[in-house]
Amino acid sequence: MPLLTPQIQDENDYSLVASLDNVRNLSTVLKAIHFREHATCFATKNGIKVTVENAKCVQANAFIQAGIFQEFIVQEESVTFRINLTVLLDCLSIFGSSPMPGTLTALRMCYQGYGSPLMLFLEEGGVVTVCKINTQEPEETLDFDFCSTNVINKIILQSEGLREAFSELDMTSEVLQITMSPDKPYFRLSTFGNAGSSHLDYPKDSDLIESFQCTQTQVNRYKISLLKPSTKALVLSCKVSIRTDNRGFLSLQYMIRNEDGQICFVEYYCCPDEEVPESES
Amino acid sequence: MKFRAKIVDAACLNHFTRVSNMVAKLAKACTLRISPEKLNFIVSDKVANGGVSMWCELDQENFFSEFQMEGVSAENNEIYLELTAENLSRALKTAQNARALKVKLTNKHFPCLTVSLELISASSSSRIVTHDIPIKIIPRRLWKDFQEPAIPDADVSIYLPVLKTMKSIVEKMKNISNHLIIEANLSGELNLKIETELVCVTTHFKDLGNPPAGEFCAVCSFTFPTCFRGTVAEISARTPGGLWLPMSHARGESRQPAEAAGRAGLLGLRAVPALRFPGTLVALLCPCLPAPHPGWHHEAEEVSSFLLRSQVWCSQ
Repeated sequence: MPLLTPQIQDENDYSLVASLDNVRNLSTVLKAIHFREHATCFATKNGIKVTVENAKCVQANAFIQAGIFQEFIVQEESVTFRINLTVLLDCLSIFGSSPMPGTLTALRMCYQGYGSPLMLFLEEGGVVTVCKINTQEPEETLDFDFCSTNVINKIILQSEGLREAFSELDMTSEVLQITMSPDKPYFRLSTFGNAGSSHLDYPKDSDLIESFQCTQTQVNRYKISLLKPSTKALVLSCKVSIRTDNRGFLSLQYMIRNEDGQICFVEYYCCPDEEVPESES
Repeated sequence: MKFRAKIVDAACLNHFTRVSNMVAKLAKACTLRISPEKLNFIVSDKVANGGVSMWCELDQENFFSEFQMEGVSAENNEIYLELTAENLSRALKTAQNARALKVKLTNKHFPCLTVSLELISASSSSRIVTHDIPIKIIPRRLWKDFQEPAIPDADVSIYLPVLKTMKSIVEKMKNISNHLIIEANLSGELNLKIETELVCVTTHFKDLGNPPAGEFCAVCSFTFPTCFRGTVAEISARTPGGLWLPMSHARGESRQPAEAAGRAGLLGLRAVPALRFPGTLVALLCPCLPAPHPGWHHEAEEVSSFLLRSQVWCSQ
């Protein structure tokens, strides 16, 4: 394949080279954060972090560790670029998102550095697709300053426990109110829609809840339109960790197991919508 | 003028339904030509206006267990009628579980194609659904507009890769770009390519093989709207000036052949379905341009439905 030969020789010219036997290990995780057109990619020797933001209020990060890749070389301290995620995902799944059993799409990804396009070489059954995606000026991403020492409440539960709740959220409600408390109702999701309010309570000792560490009652509201996209990650994940800090910021960490049994993480941060008046809580 | 036909075989019925669905997706109105040997669905939008043309041929004996027809006259033993393709496709919606299908030409205040479906029911009593599809009989003097097109030679012919792969690739490319560039040569290489400001994507196929029909010409390259959704059994094209595409050879071939020709001009898409129905053929013609052209989008929809259908059809 004449296309691949020169590229192998010039390996040192690339600031990022990553190879993957199964492209779905990457594309699945990226799909989980695909709620906006553009994403910022940061690559270090530990792996790649892909960040998507919306409305300066919500941020999603997908972490793909270096170990997921069969080959992962980063020449510089860190490599940063912005890319059209929609196009990237279309390219990654060009051979189809549900491949015929027994066939894998292999990927080789190269980036020459600032101003260069991201090159993708995909191969399935001897057919090669070459994609050259133009990269863009990286944008400053939000720093939510979400520090584990400031975490007040933390619940880890099986994703299935949240999946149905999230897919059936009353979208006529502007906010999703999350109550986390060491006392009853422990963990409650509430919506206030046109057809009335709904409350969904999870008992503390439910089988779905793996860990319950709530120290203080917190009632926070989050824009439902900002949280809804996290359903994509929820659907793919096996476990989710829900944390809130002293400012009411929400962190949702999803653990996603890929086809080879490796673990990747997707994280959503969201800031609270408003202070809840005392009388309501 | 008389026409009466019956299908009893489930596979034939299914196949006939697919054909009519495909036609419905392609065009609002279509022409049905009935002759003692064949049934033809014809769409002949003016190619000059950027429209898509289609010629679909079904061997009557492969589909119908009973087939009686009497044309306009003994020497012109044919019937040409125009109908809304959607109506036929809708009438056949119930055909999935039908035991038999009857089609006949009737006159109920106005000329109709009457489609009756005998449905399976749990009880012994049979249920029949009848649709009357209004039609227009095409007078003898206009028949010349609906003749089987002449066959120009292709410059490059190539067999297409696995349809499922190609379909997926074209679908993704369609998301990104309005136009697809197809390149093919006589060494069995085919490239599908899109080029936009954001991204350039090229898929290289090799070792596809060329049907013996191709004779000369180095590489040809032309632009084709990516709005097409499915894929093709066969593509062929020719240089400007001609109107139709080759469709006589490769009938009943087990492999899906493809032909592509011309630096610019016309792209032909040909679906050769399963061996079960030899002689069945669908050919579609759409113009293609040497460079992207905004006027393309219209007809691309039609192409897309054709491809979508023919894929389903061919993979039987």
